[in-house]
Amino acid sequence: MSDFSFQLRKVSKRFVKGKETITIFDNLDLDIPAQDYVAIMGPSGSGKTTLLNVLGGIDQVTSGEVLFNGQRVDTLNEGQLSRWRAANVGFIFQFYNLMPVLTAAQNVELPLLLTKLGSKDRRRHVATALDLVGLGDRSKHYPREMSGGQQQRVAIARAIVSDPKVLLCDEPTGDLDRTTADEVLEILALLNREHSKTVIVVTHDPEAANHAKRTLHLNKGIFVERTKLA
Amino acid sequence: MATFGRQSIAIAGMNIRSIPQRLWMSLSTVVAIALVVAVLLSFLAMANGFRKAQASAGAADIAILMRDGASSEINSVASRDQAALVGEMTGVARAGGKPLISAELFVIVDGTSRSNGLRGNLPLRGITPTGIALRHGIRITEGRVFQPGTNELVVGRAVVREFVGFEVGKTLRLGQSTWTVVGVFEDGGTVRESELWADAGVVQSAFDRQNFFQTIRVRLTSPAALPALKAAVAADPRVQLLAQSEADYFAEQAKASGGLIQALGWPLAIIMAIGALAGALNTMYSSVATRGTEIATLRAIGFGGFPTFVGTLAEALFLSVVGGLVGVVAASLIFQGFSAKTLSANFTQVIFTFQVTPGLCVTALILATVVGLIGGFFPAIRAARLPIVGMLGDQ
Ligand SMILES: Nc1ncnc2c1ncn2[C@@H]1O[C@H](COP(=O)(O)OP(=O)(O)O)[C@@H](O)[C@H]1O
Ligand SMILES: [Mg+2]
Repeated sequence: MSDFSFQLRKVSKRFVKGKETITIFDNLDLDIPAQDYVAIMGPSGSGKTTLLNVLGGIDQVTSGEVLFNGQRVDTLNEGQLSRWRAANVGFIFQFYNLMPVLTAAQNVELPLLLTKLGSKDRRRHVATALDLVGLGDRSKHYPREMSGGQQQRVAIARAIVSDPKVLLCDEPTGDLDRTTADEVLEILALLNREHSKTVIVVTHDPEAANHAKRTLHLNKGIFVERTKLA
Repeated sequence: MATFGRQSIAIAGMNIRSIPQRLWMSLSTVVAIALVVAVLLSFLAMANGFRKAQASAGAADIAILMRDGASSEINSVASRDQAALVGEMTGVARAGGKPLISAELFVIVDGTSRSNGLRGNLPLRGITPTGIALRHGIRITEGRVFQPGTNELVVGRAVVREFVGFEVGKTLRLGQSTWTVVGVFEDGGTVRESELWADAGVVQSAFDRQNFFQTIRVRLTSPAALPALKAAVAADPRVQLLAQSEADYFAEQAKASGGLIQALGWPLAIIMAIGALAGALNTMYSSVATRGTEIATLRAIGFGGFPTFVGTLAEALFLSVVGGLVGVVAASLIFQGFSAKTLSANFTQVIFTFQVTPGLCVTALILATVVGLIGGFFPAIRAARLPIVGMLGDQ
């Protein structure tokens, strides 16, 4: 078993728009070791979200290979990808993407509905995840009854409840003020440090990048890496 | 996938719980489907009530004899001599040595409708005590039976309900005589409750029909004796009549009008259902559109396309079943026991009540479900095929 979470090998991504072909990245190589915490920065439209979607198995590459723990992911079919995502990655979005009709606990429980866990076990896992993000007392609250920061913490609880190895975060602090953004970044750092999660964060926020072990700058389809000095 | 059911239930639950976000649209779909169901059910209940009123009037062990070629009592004719011959035939039951036979007149008289003040045709039957005894289930609810030889009337309770001036004690003019109502009878809601009965001989002289009748009724020794009687009638050239069981006669009469009511009801309901379907499709497409990010998020988490399909279909089914139930309840409350009049094959008024039955409710609910299934199917396919990329609210 490889100790890499992700490996991209000569990955290209192109869109055909009418007669034009837009190349987002061309022959991109990337290694993300297990338990890495990497920030991906870059100008708007540089392909950060597309990259995250490729890593998360919700977008296809035009060519090249995507490997997870040494196994090809880009060759899986849709059903296999669904199961792979459920087992291995947790997503965190800029606008939280909680289900408005579900309580915090019900939102967090969603990924567990894809497992064979019984309702008692599910409740236990949900409680643990909510405690971890500091919202143990908000389990019965609906998203509309919570602040943005609290909603993002519920979303983090949802992303980790089934214990995936990787967290993929697209602008997780993009909609938050400084203080709540910092709380969220603390939680991500904790998850990386204490719970061995591989964390990949797409961000505009320099503070978010500071929490990461290293930062990749994506520009015109190429990475420029700046490793943080300890 | 093992968790397929769980996923589907979760998505269906979310969709149904989010209906208040599309309240007016969803409500209009429910109302449209409720209307379809109510209209269909009212027609079915009407046809059913009519059939029941006609069909339940007939017994299997009573034979009714009419002129060969007569399609209903009004255009039949039978003489006193023919009645005497039929009385001696095989298959006719006897009591105290005398055949159980009733030669009856059937004339049309006028009545004034309570609801709209219009004149309507009512059947006046000239009958004997034996004739009354040949009808099962007749019950005098008020007053008494007419005295033979007098100008007395006993009337069906539907006549009292729907027409002016037939209460016990009232006098009225029919033909060339004045009559007094002396009693009201009930017959379990059958077509007979639309009739007026008087002594056969008195009706003959009042309407100038000496020695002629319209129909002859006999009690059979058993329902199985009918073929023997038919054969005996056919074998006697003096009797130009045709025998059939009373049950068959009424069933045949009911077919035409009951069928007509249904033939009107179904196309109307289906046209309305197509309208409701358009509304349901619209509501469901908009539901899928507003849930785009939620669907993409669930798919990203690992939920399958098929549970997404099932969950969306469930929302449409939920709306249609709620609409169907509302329609059934509304139609039942409004139309159950609702009284109506229509012309029978005798050109007289048949008074009957709408009969909503569980079976008809199920039929109407099936139509609602079909509207829901089709109205949900195509939007559900769209939901299941929705792309994830670009729908997650990212930039
Ligand atoms: N489905 C698509 N079809 C065509 N172009 C697309 C599609 N998705 C993304 N793009 C283009 O790809 C580029 C990268 O998009 P994205 O990954 O969202 O960038 P970022 O997240 O860095 O802002 C943008 O120029 C965008 O317009
Ligand atoms: Mg982006």
